[in-house]
Amino acid sequence: MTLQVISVAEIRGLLAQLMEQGRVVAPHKRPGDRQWAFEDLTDPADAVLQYTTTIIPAKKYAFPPKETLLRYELGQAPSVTAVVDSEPLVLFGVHTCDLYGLTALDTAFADHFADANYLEKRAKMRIIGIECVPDEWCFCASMGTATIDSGYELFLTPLPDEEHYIVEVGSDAGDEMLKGIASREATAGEVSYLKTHLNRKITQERHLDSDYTALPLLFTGFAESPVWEKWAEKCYGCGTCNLTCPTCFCWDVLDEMGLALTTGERRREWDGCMLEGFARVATGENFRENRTERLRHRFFRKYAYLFTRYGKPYCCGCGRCVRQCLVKIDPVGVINELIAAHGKGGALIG
Amino acid sequence: MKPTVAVFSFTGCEGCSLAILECENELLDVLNLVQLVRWREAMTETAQEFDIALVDGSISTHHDVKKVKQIRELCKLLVPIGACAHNAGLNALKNRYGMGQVKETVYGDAGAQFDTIPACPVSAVVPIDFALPGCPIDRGEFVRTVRDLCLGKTPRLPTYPICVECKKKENVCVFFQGKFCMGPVTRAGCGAICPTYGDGCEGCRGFVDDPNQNAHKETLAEYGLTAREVMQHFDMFNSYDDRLP
Repeated sequence: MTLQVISVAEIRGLLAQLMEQGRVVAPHKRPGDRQWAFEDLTDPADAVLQYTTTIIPAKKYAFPPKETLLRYELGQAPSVTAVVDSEPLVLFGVHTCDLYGLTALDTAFADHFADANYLEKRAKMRIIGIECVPDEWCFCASMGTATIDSGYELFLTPLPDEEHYIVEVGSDAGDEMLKGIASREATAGEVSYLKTHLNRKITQERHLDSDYTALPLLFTGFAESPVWEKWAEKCYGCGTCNLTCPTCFCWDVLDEMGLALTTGERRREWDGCMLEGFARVATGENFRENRTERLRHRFFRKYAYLFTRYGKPYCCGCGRCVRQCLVKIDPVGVINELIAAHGKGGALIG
Repeated sequence: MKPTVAVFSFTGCEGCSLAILECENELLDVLNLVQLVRWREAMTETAQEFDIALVDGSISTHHDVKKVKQIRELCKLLVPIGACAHNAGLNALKNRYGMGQVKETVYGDAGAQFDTIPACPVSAVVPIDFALPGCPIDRGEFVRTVRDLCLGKTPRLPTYPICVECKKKENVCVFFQGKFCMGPVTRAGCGAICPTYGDGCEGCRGFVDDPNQNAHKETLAEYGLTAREVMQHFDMFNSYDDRLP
């Protein structure tokens, strides 16, 4: 299909139309310098079109911070009921890095035991992507996520006048959404602008000193590096990087008995490998007691372990981890320092 | 047979005992689990036998010391509730001054007749079984703790800092709003209540087990606090030092 162009007014009209059909969430401005969050849209005018990142990525709609997995009843005839809450949802304003993040979670949650709680929510999602406003922490180009050609119904890229957007249609549902919305075909000049824009995005200044596909091999040479300890000295172990990460998916499971001691629920809550209790097991043993071990583990998981297991990195280059980090532990800084200290040869020359 | 519970108060505002009364929606369910037998804020009975003793307030007089030792002998489980009982909280601020000076500051010439010793947590005087932090205690955490004690389970306290609760609520970090916060080194469990309503965390729940205090001092300084102000943030609820007399 040829590329279409629609106006900002038409985008607001599209949102109004979608809101009539069901729940729509979109980025909203929050107080503070450059802070945004996905929230339920109650007025199409509230949706922010140009922003850097939300505090928490869109994963919260498929994998909420707290979620009931089952409810149980004790007594003469004990029973257990699995709980899967899901509803149709339109996610508006998702950036390329976050679209990649969702595809990474799709792979992880479908692996081994297909996770119904996640997958059902995902199946009922329709997504309208939008081009981002990069800042000093983004490094999507280094992770191969500056552009993405699937995982959305529609994708919007602003033209220089910022009053019009180029629309790419990614699915039949996307075609359906555009029905009744006034649009025109993109001109040759506009198509060429889109290409120039994407080229500019993938040559952004901030980058890793390595091709991301080499990272798993490179990391084999980093295990004993003193660089970890240096960065961990200022780390709080507060888990902010885990919790704001679009590709982190660890959780803790706990049973919560009601006060009457007759019913209860089992739920999961977000957990994070940077947190002190994450690797503590029933005997009290903690496999990663100190922050250096935990920081190293987190990086290995993002750039080596899961990359090797699933064939793609579990980092989308969005920069949330460092943007929200009070002490600015920065993946680009850490990895480039590792490369500078140990070379690009990884274990081969290690 | 329901476990019997007594509530005692030492040096503090007694607000944590009051917080129990404020568990309005859950109070009847709690009373199905336990039998209250002594609580000066809520009843006239003064039972001498009880299974669980809940204690708020710091130990700050010789009389307190004697009384808390008696309570320890009478109960099976001793659970300090609230910052004063948990880590001496605000009360410990007086410990850096001489007790004579403290008495004179508060009571003037009449001070001499008062008995006061450096404030300490309950655990500094007698062994405890569990402690609920916070100023005041979190009501949900209190109710869950009572339930767990009745079930014979070890109650759960988060081992992670307030930042986790802020992120789960998607709060904008208060530092990014030009304010200061002890959240990165403070034990979660309150639902990040202060940051959620736009204030910095004061650290009333005490430090996490492994706080990176150096990092936090640097962060507070980097965001504009003087060295003295940094220490004021650290000391407000967490100045108790068992190395002091």
